[in-house]
Amino acid sequence: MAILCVLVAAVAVRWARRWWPPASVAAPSACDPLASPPPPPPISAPVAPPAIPLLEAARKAVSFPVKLEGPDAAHQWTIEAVHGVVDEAVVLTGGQTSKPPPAAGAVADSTAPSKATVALYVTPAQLGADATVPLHLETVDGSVVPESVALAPGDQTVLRLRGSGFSRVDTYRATLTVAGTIYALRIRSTSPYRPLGLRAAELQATRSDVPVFGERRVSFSAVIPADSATIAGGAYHVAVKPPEHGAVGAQRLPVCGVRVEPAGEHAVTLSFPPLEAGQYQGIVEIQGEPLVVDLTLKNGWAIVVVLVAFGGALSFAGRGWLNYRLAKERNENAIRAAENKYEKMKSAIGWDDLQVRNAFRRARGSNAVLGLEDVDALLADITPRTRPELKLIQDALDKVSLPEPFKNQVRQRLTRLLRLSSRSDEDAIARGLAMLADEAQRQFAPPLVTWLDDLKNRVTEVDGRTQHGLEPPNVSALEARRAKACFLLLHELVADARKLLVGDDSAGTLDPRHAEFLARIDPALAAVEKMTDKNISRDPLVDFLHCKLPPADAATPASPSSKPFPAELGIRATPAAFGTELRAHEEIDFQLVEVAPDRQTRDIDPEDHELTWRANGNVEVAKGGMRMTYVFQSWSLGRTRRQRVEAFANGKQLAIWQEPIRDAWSLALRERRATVVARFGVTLLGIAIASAAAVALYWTNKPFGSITDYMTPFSIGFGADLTVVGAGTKLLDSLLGALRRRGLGEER
Amino acid sequence: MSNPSGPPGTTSTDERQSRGIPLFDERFRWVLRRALAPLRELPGVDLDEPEQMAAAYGILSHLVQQAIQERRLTGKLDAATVAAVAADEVLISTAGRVLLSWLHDAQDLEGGSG
Repeated sequence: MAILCVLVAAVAVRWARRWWPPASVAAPSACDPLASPPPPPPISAPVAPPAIPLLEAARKAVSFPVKLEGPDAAHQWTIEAVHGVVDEAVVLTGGQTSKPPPAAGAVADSTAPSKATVALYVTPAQLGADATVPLHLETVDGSVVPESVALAPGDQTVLRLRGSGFSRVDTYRATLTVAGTIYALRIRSTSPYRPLGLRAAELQATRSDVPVFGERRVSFSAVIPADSATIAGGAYHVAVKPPEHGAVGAQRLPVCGVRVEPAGEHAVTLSFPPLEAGQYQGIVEIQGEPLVVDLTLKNGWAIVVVLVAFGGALSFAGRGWLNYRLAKERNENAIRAAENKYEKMKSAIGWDDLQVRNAFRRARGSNAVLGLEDVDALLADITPRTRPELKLIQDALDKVSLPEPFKNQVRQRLTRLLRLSSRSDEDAIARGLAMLADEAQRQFAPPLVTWLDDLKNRVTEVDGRTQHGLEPPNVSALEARRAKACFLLLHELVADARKLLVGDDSAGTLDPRHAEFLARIDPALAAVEKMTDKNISRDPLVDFLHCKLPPADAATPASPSSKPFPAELGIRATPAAFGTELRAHEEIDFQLVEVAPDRQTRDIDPEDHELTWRANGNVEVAKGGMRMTYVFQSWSLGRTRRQRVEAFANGKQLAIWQEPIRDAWSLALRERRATVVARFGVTLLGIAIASAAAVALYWTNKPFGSITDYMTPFSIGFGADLTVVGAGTKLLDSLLGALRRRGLGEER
Repeated sequence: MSNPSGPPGTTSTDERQSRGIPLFDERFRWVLRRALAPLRELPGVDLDEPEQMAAAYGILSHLVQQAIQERRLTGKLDAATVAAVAADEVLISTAGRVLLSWLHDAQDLEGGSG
């Protein structure tokens, strides 16, 4: 037997040398006494090529059967690898065999059974194309990795088949060759990794800090306690699997980027890659231990409120804009209708007309934000002033027979009143019209008498002036007599007219031809006065005596004074109503003044001059007097604007005023502060309620990230404004209207 | 050349009003003055003489008022009507005759007294 073993060993060595020949350069030759024998092949290297000779050696059967416990009859042996490790006992038993003929020289061994060297070889475990898992055999004490054991028939040797690194739950395959018998190993890997002992089976977490703008992702990590977080090698095996029953709308956890790191000895940190808002579900297996993860990432709650507010604000703005446009158009139509109506009954008095146009300007200026509601009231206040006395005067001037010069005087007085265009002139207009109307009612008799008295005085004056020239020897006695007779006749005619007007039984009026005749006296008087300086001809005096007076020149209309203006003029602007500040939508008095060298302003005689007032460019405001009251339409938003007013006379610019005035908007805002604040407050309240409802009903416990998630609170805000604020305002308005109507009904 | 009985036109206003049209002279003096122009051409008449002018005016005014009253034009009296009546040749010639007669009487009276 020993010889047989030696022979086997020799053959094995020989085979080994054939498989691993010495290196061609460094290989020691057989003649080299110093050459060291080649190193033995590493037995423990599981996949090293030297296993092949061992395999060959192992295939050589021994003379007695070697039984291996475990494999079935088909030489298949199923063993288990738990947590990636195989540690299986290999029990070899030498079986009895038929007694061979004692070999020569084997007497010494007749008492003890002879041991045979049983070669062993195990291949690495394999699973498909995966990496192989090395297996090896050890002695029980674990110190030696045998490649053969000495075994005698009837002996029993226990070895350990060991290997680690089974990373999959599957069945690996390997072969174990024992004394020429090949056993197929089926290694069932059940729990590939060493357990951490996670103390949680489920991780459910919610975070609500996903940024809305910029990097819209957030990283998430959680510390999971474990029995022992320490593993060999330090790298955890992590696998992400889909949830068994995923919630509707939930996303799967990302497969990549999920990391596990030790957090001390008894916990691990589970980190997820940056994720967008949403709900994520899945199962994370750490070292094969499942952890059900339900992760909800939301944007901050503020975004819900912001969206609700944005929706509400948009609705508020939309409603406001719509109402604004509708009201503005309606107001504009009302203003235009009122203007058209006014044009048909336009006042002839400058101030009355300007006052109405100022009111229209105020109404049109108010037809803007914060002023829309005032337009109706402003239009209602526009009642063109009717001046019955004006018609009375005009009728009297048309019907009553009056000398044309006197009529011109009356017309001039009237024209002066008509062109006054300032609130300061209101009393003067009223007084002047009342006086003229009173005179008109009396057929202008009193002023006509005054005019006649003036005429009489002029006759006397001319008589006195010409007395010396019309007496002998300057003229003949006859001509002197005629001249005297002429003056007497004039006195008599004036006295006749006076008596007709103010006599006891007089009619108070003149015959039209008589009035026309009286109009000729003054020019004729002037002719007589001129005649004294020249040759006195007979005919004019005779004609005079027979009242054949030349017709007077065509009546010249009342013309403005030709009195020259001062050299330097300016325009003084003062608030017409109250305060010291010039404001849009409030009356401002403009007055043409003289500017003295010391820059002090002085009033100019307000009589006679007719000025054309223009405002802001070429807009002709009024053909008026020296004063003008104007209202600027401007409704500029919270800022002052420079306004310009110019005064012209006969097409020539006299003075210009250009200064900023306060806007009307800020005043309107101040007046409506309470209303504006109340409306804004109600809107804010509505939005706050809607936001709270949206956050409570919609956002809570719900992932937030899709477009629907953004649209819903926006719609809630939009609807909240429409329903709460819009409908609430309507309801409030209708309630107030009903109460008002009820109040009016009770008053009636 | 003063006329003691005074010219026909120099009667007092009250008297004229009692028998004539109220305020006739005040209203139509200028019309009658125009109508007197033809009398200036009469020989022996000098209307530049204030007394003659006054007499002529008085005569014409009297005749015109008479004519108006005879024609019943008082109700619609105006300058045109009066001028038309005063321009009547018969009336003017009558006025001229009366004036000349008055002048002769006046001259006779002056001659007798002189």
